[in-house]
Amino acid sequence: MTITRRQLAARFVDALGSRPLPELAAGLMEAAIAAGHGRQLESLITTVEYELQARYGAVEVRLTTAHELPAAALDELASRVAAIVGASSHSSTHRVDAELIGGFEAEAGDSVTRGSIRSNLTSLGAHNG
Amino acid sequence: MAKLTSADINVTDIKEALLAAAQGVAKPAHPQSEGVVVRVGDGIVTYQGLPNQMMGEVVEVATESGPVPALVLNLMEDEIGAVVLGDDQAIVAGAKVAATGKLLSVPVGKELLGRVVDGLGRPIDGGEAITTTARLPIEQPAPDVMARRSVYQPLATGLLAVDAVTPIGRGQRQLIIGDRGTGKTALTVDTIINQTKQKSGVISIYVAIGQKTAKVARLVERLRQAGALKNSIIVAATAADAAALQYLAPYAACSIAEEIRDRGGDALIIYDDLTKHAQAYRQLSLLLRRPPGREAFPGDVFYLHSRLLERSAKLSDAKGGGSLTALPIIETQAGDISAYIPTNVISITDGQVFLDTDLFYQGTRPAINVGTSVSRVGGAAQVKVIRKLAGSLRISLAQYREVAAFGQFSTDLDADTRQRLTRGERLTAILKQPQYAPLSVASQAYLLLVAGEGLFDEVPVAEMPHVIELLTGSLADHHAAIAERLNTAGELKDDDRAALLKAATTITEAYRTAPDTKQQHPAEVTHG
Repeated sequence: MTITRRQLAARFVDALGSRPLPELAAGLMEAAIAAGHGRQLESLITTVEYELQARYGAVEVRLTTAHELPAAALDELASRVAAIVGASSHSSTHRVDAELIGGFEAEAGDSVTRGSIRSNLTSLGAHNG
Repeated sequence: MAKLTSADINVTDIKEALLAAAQGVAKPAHPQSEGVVVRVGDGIVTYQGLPNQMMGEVVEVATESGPVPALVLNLMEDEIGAVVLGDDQAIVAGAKVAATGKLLSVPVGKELLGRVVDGLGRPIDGGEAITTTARLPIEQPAPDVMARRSVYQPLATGLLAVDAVTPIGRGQRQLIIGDRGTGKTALTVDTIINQTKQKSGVISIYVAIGQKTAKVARLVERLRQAGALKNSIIVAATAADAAALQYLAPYAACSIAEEIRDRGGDALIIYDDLTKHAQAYRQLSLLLRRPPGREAFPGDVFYLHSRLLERSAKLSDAKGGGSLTALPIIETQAGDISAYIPTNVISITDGQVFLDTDLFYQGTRPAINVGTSVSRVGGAAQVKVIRKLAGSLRISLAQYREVAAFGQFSTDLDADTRQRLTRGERLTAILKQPQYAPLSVASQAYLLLVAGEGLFDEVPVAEMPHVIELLTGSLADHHAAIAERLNTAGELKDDDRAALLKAATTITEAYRTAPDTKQQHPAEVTHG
């Protein structure tokens, strides 16, 4: 029977800590290709992310801001977003997108927080037809 | 191994490691571009491989005598089913299948006018090869709501019973439904001929699905004799053709008609008939091993016709204002309009013209049952003068049918009932029309005017065809100016009305007899 992406992700998370991470990652990818998921590797990585959140409450907070912010401010922002989604631990990434005009947008797991001027203007436009 | 806690997990690091590993693994240099035939038979080829196939894509199956095209219709997890569009006898298991990445398309354009082509746009009339500059996919999305406007221009069929009672507008979908041999095709052929006769500018596309080849040949010859073939395109997938071609023909014809619509022209498409189309699709579906549903039709048989008929539309001015009018035909069994396919198509279309077997054999031809026929949107497109003169026609006929049934059991009828019977018999008589003789708007208006004024009431029913012929003849010979005004403006001025009534009175005078004093059997009078 064909092994599913979710089963592959679960096995990978089970094995975390038993061997070096690059070795485990390479093993997962080979198993995925052998099982016919070679064209859905990105989807497999997302499945691993969900599995980590479900099992350990660990999330990656992806922050996008309109301007550069000090590291301390970014950490504070990421912690608050992680708390909102109920994460036990978090790591974060950051990028700058001037099209946001001001404010920030954050993704954590399958939650999205929009606090940018661009998203507020879009909502206002939709509200006013 | 120590048990991990959430603090030990860094999702970002893990994702980066996975992304790096994903980039490092060997991916196939190219997607697999060849499939292998697993099974072939009954016009269906099943193959494996080619994981990126599209629904409706054309593939080429290698054979000893060259590649044979096939159309992808079944996408399953481990294999693909395609309908062979050529000689399936040449295909063997293990043959290579190559993807083309193209959807099935047909040639479109003016070059097709006057030609007879098959379901793939290939000429079958023995004429020269057709060279067109454009091709269109056979399946296209229907125009959206914003691209359409309401039906408002009439499409004259030349049949008084249709134009007066169930008028058709350009862009409408009007179903022609009836039993075998009740004049469904004849009605549509008259409509095609009328477009040329009245110089309406409408291009007609007739699609024969599962018909006898001889019938199609006769129809082509009839159109040629009437001079209408030059304004028509015939798409024929006859009973002798493969089910796949019968399935494809209406879609191909619709694309040909859409090209006319999209460049601002007016097209009329006749699907003769969709019952056989559904049967061809059922055959294909069963061969493709799709689960059968009611009457063994597949579950998507409604979608089969809705996606086809939805492509008929009157386009908005911003889109060029073109139109595509559809006259789908459905053949019923013993007048049962509540069967599966008839109810499907009735619910899709904007009205129906119901042809009645009893009326047909009683001599009322076209055998249109005015009671069960309806046009839901055509009223807005009816010519003004016809709308005005035919306003009470439907109700007068309904009253006539009611008293005619009642009168059969009564010997002594009151004057009012006798009057309704008399008027109804004459109205029924003017709705009778010989085949291939469509009437102009002026002739129709003239007959309705004369009937409405009661000038026919004292004319014996047996003399009615002759009197009608005299009236329409005199209109063309002696009142050409009035006829022209009626045909172009669609309105009847008071002076013209008076002149026409005067002429009609003179003509009918010679045929009038004293009003009936003795009640005749309605059936004898009507159908004699």
